[in-house]
Amino acid sequence: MNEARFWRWWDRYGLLAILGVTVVALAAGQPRFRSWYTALNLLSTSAPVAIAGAGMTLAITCGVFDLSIGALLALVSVTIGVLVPHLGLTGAMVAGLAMGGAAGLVNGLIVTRLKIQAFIATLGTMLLWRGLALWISGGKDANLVHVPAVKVLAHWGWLALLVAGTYGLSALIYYRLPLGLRLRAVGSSATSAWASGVNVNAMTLFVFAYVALTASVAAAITTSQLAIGGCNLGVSFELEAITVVLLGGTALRGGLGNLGGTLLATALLGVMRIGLDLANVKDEYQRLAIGLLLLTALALDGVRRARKEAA
Amino acid sequence: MNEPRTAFGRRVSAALDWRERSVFAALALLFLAVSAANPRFAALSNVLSILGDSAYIGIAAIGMTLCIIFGAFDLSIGALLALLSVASVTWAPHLQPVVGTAGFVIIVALAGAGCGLLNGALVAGLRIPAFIATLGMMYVYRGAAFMLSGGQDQRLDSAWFLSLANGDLAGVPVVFLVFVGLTVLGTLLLNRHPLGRRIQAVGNSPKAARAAGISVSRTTLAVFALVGVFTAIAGVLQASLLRGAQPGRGVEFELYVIATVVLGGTSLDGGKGSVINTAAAAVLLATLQCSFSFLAVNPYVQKIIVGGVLVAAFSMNYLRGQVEDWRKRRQQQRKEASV
Amino acid sequence: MTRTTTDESLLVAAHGIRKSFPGVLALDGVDFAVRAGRVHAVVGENGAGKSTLMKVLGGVYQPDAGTVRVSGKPAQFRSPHEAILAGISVIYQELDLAPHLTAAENIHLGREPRRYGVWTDRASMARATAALFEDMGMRIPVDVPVEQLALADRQMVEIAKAISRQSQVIVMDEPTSSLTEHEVAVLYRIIRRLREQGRAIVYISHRLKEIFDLADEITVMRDGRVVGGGPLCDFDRKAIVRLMVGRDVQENTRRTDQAGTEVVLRVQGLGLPGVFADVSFDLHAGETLGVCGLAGCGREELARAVFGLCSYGCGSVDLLGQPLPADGPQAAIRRKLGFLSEDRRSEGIFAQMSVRANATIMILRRLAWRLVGWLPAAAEQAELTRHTASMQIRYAGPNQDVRLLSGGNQQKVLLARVLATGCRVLILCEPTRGVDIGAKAEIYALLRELNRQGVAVLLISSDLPEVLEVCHRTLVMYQGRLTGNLSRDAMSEEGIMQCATGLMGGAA
Repeated sequence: MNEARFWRWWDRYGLLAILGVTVVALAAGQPRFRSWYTALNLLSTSAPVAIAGAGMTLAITCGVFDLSIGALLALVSVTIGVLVPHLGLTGAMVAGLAMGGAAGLVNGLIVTRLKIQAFIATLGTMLLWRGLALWISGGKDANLVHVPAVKVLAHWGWLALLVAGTYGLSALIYYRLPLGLRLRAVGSSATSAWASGVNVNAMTLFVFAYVALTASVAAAITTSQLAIGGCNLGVSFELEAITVVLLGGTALRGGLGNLGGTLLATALLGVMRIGLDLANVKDEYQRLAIGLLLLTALALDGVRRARKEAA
Repeated sequence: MNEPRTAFGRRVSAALDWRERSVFAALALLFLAVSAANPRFAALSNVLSILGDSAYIGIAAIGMTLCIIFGAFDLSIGALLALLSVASVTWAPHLQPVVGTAGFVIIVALAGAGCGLLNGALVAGLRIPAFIATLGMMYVYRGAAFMLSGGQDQRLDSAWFLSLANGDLAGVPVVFLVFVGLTVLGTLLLNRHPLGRRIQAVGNSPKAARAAGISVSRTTLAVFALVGVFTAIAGVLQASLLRGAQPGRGVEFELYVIATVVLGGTSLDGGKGSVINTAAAAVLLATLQCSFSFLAVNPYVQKIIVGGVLVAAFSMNYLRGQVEDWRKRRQQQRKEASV
Repeated sequence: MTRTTTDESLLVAAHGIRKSFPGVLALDGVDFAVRAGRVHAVVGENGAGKSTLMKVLGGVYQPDAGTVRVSGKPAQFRSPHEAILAGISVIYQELDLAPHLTAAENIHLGREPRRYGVWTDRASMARATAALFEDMGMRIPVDVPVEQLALADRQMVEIAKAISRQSQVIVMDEPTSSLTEHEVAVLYRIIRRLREQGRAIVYISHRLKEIFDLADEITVMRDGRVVGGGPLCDFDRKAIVRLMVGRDVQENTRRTDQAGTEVVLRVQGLGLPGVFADVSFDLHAGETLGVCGLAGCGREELARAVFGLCSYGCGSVDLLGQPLPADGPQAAIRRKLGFLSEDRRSEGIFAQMSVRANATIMILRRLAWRLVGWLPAAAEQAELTRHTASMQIRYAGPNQDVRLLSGGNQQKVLLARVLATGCRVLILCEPTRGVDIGAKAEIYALLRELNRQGVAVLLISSDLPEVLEVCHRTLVMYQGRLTGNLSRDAMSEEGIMQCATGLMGGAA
């Protein structure tokens, strides 16, 4: 089979194939894997990454890397924890989302007004959000176990709804709204977009707010699942989100997003984690695996780009 | 302003240009302000303690300065610090009897160089942007640190090992002297060695560097290897200070190191920077953190302040540009007024 | 300039446009008028100001002085988008498309058709684009990312973008430099159609044949001014060339010395598909060989290919008698071949490094102590002082940032840098661009001295008087081929320009 055809096949079905192989291998090797429980487990552990991944897909398509969403996860969760006694669960969650959106706008303003590169700016705000989260919470997780219906979002119905809703909205924006076209244009060639009258700053602000909002939804879910306002949540969360986006086929340099790929990659990551959990692999080694996965995704992206340049 | 006559005089005058050394002014200001609030801050023992504290981030920041001048970022140094300190504690009992203390430190430094070469290979060979390649390697090194240590914190009480970081010479902490020595070495490397020139050249313009016959990929490998070496030294010293190594140490270390480099005035766009300024910024940061305890600032607020300072430091480029524009406009107005 | 027809057909009228950049006056009081239903050609040699004028009309630059009126109303474009809204579309040589977006998306970006005012109407976008292409007589897929399209097709997409915007004025900057003959014919058809529709085409090109095929009016620019123009029927080719180069005839000091006979650089059959083909020439010791040509002729790429900054497809290069493998700049430098790029700012100086560091960057290995690598300040300074004296480089101090120097002095620092390596063959690209007259003279003197020492120089230059003054011989390229190999006696500005515009093709 000649090389070009292999790569075309890989672009379309590669991830699906790997996912299939992994699932089959795990099902064969680990009896505990074959149960409905596994599917539910997959959904509940992957939902936050999936949802943030959708936002990150649009961000990277627009050429933006947000490294602060892990810290934002903690900040929003802490906010919810603190506000539940005052606003009730629903009110607190809405407030948390608002806080997240505002944080995203702050990121966007720093990048557009102070002309700092996205990943550097979000390195700084990462520290800010962590500090804020620790300060507001006093360094302790808020215990929400006693709050009625706190685990509402842990239910598979809600999870499925939120994941579907996020991807539906993101796909709507990406494929069906002029906004999506303009985001892609800015990521593909900011000068060309500007020359055509696209407001590049507005696109940047939007995409920062959007990825922060999706991260906030993920935070709400995690808060609900663990029933805590966690001040130390989200470590390596941004790594997972970026990994699934790049693994799913979104171009590193922007201009091309693959929402379906992100979802598939999230499933793959989730299945991998379940397998690693079943094999009693510790958290840090799981993160090592994710790091290697990210590097593999980057290498593949590099190869894809090299092929394009040679063609 | 009169230009000094001799070459030496010119060099000294350039070195003391206040615009380039503003971090020293900031340091002095901070010190004076905190001492005014709490006179015990100015005690000699406290000052020496601050100097000693500054060495760990400071030494790593020397390497990061070279990296940022080159035009890249290494986000993996926190995890690398943990890995190398674990490695040093694990190997120390076996290595030191054979190669001596100096040899041991050299071997750890070489290990750091090796990891750095790995980072560099990803950037130069696979053409992955440095920030994201090192983001991925961060997790690989962290996992390796856990693997090497078996997930356990490690303790080492050997006298020779503890003497690395816990000694002092006439009251001045040895680590600080090492820091100063490495700062001098770093400055000389940057300004008086072909590699330093090549690093600056690529940071200024990779295209021009290529046209001038400089191998960008080889320079990339060298820069990341250097970052690894400096991180290794910081790791060994920190392990000596804390009597052991923890695989989970060093989270957000890279943020503080990058903050130090930026506070020192090195431009994030690359091409220009000063190791001496970075060293001063390391002392500044240590002073800031010490002042937090003296002024009883909430530890979490500390993080917010540092994050805020970081963002402010990042925007210095922009602010400097604004000040330049404002000055130019004033000049233009004055010219037009006098016509 | 006479106002011929009524002002109703005057779509764009620019008057007294001035634009300067640090060190250079690009436009010096230019008047320019665009009429509906006409193809208006703009010609001039490199640096005449054509592109700058188009960027002013296109909203990329704001003029320092002068007015632009669109359909009689004064207009000020603060961005390309405002120019587009005013009905002016400029298609630049570099093309301005978003590579990942399809043709349909690129064309409709910013004005996407919507259903119910909200959803992007992809079907209608595709239909409109397909209809547009069919109208133009092009068969281009509408939903393939444009980066996968051939360069010629991408150019067509740009033109379609302008048509789709209903632009009344379409400016094309060297549109045919990458097109095959067939595609050029298609372009002709499209342009004629647009003219029938009452639009105005501004056609920048140096290919006189095409201009005479298409244009109704012509404007000739030189040194930032309009030096002639009017209905095309008033001109013949020779007259145009004369206007392009004609200056007050100065007594040019020509080269009177002889070049050596030893061949130091031999290029045979060098070709890079799509850029240049079948280029062969010899360069002798102590000779300065000029290479002239206009946009798209391939000479810059030729110079880079010889040096090793870009690869070539076929042919060979022999340096000092030995074959020079295409291994990249380092190999060439080691073999005593030097190169200075025409883009001083992004491929020449290290802006934030000192004058001394810039000058010595290529000889560090020689200056440094073998074992430790220490660079003694004295040795560096001695090297710099040597060149400063011989080239009269002016700077405040060796530690001064090189970006603070004038263009001329920066160029001298770069020359010092490359000469320090002791090269025997030197490739210089536009060495006096943006350099003041005094420094130019000093650089010419330096070139003459280098020749005397036996160093051979390949001079890529757009400055025709300079070429005449400094070169022993001149090569001229047009559309990727050598059209002229002019000996000293045959060299004249008109002669060079005739070869560069395709009027003459062959050795003199």
